[in-house]
Amino acid sequence: MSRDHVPADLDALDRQLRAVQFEPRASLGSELEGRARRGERALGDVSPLQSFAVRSALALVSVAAAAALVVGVTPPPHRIDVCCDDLVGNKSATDGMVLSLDPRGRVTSLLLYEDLDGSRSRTAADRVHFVRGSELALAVPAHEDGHTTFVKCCDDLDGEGPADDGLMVMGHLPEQIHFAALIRYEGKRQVLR
Amino acid sequence: MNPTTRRVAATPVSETGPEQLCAEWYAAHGAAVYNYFRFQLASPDEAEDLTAEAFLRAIRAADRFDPARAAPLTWLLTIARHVLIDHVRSARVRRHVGFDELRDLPVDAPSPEERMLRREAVAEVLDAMAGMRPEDREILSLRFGGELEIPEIAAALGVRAGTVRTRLWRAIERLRERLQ
Repeated sequence: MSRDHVPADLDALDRQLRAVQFEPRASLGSELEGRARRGERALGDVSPLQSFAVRSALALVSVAAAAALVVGVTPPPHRIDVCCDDLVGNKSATDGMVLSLDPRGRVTSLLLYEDLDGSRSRTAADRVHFVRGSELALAVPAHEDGHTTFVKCCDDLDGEGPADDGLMVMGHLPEQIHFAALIRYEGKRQVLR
Repeated sequence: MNPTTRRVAATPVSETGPEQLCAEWYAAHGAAVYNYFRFQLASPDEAEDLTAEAFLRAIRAADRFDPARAAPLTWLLTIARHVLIDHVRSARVRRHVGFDELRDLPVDAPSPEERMLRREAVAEVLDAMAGMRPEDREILSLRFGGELEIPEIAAALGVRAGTVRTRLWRAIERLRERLQ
């Protein structure tokens, strides 16, 4: 920055202000990349829902969906791949999670992996930390020696929009994971799924 | 801020995806955008949220960026200004700056006393700025947070360079009065 001929009497404060430099959190850039990759919208964007044409189309789709439910057809489950962050307490933002959710938002499978190939998504080259199905069960007693719990909070992990989800991981961390579940924070209540 | 990270030419939008574009812009200008917000907000968390918001908006609008009209940083800070305006409208902005909220201020002074004095001095400056008129905070933040040159501030604000110079010196003068 050039000095732009600062008046002499203001020079000391000008220098003091120039010396103030904050540093953003180191992981902010990678988080932002992930959000951009997932096509996350900025809060200030004009929502497509505000468009009359889109609203009309959505109304038609809603009617069709309601009709489909009446005849017993439900939408397929969906899959979310979130990467990369420290999800298992290893202080390294290289972990990812693949979630499968049914149409009611229930977790049907949860897989934690380490993004070894730097693809920022789950590939065959990655190391799988942990995998489970829809059941919430702890493989070993929670009080076992060396058992620790790591909780990551809060973000939009289930793709529903609000950043109201956490992830709880238990085990001999970070090497052995015996339990992992999404946490949804509902006021003071925490719902594991 | 590392000066080598500044003045990076914009990558043509057509040649890259949103993730890569975001990474390039953030690497080049993330610290400046963050500091722009940080000079006007008491909390590092708020500054991070708004930095992310500004970059996401920029990525969405990347096809409208014209490097012939503005440098990438000037354009990003113009977006950041709008993000801040929306934030101030929608949220209660806290004014008092506590020491514990200067965790994002690297201080390499040798002794704990010197580090504390340095933090104290910065907290005083931010506290004094928080009580100033929005126009003064704005121009000080573009200058010292965003590290824009006077012609770039003029481009971001849509006024003449001479006007920026006058406003800037007056803002520094008013800040000095508040600090005395």
